[in-house]
Amino acid sequence: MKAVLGLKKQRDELRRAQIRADHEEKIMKVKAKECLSKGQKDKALKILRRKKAIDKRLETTDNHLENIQTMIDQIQTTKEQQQIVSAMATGNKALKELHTVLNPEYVEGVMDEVAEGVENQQEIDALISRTVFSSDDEEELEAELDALTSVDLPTVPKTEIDLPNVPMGEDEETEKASPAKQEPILA
Amino acid sequence: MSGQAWQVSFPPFYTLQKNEETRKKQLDAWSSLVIEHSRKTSTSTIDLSEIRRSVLFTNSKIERQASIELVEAVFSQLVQKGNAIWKDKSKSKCLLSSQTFSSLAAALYNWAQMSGHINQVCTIFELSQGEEISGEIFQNVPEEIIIIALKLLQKERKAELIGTDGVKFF
Repeated sequence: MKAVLGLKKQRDELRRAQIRADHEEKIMKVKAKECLSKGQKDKALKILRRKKAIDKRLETTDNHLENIQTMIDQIQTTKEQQQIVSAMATGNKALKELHTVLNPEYVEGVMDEVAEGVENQQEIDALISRTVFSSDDEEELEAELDALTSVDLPTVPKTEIDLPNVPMGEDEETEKASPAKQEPILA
Repeated sequence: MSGQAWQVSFPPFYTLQKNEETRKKQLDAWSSLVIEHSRKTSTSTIDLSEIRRSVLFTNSKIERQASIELVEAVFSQLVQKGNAIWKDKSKSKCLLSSQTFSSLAAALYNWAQMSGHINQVCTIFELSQGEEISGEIFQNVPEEIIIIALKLLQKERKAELIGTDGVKFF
């Protein structure tokens, strides 16, 4: 910070010198013209020589100014870079600290447990959604309906006895449905 | 300005008026005359007794010169309005600015924000004569006045003066 201010002060000093030289140059020009109009050629030449010297001085001042400006820019850029690196180092440290808590083995363990939990849930879902009574009930109801609509059907109760394997068919259906459910959860 | 021309040749204008409302108008008129005069002559440091003797406060045509108390009242008002600041305790000299110090301060801080100079050091010269400030209201304002505006920012913790020729904006 002090260095930049010092350089900037020097730059201001050069700018002031430039303004002074500019001013002097203008005066020399006017003076040379005056001398020429009076016919004092020798004097005019001397003044022009002086003006040229000032021109040269202005040029070197310009170069100095440019050098100083470059240096100011460099300092500022380097300072910014230093800040960036130190910010990144702090970030890296924080990331490392987080990784000591969140390591791959731990994540694997957690994920395994989650998968197990999901599997258990699916099993429970399958078990709980299995229709326990409905098929029997429906058969009974249909039989009753048939009995109501037609009186000539005494064989109906027999079919009721022939159907204990119906729930097995439903079991297969739920098993088919379960892998489809599992996929989106794992994804 | 044209409205003030008649006042300049109006004898009572040179004595501090007793009526409060008249006095207020009189001081306002004098204040703008003083600011206009300092702009024309591009002077910012004003010696009260000197300016009283100048053409501004003296009209030989009507043989009038402003009273000391009037000149003092005019400058006290300018100080109060934030256009001037006393340079000594005896209040014989003051620093005058056509812009109020607070408006200069606001413009300086706004420039620092817009041009990315927050957290950067700048020289006072840069803020007055630099190439980056062309078109700003503080361009070519004397460094002395810029410093006073920066001191206002320093009070608000928006800037910090470094030595006598540097400043850092926050």
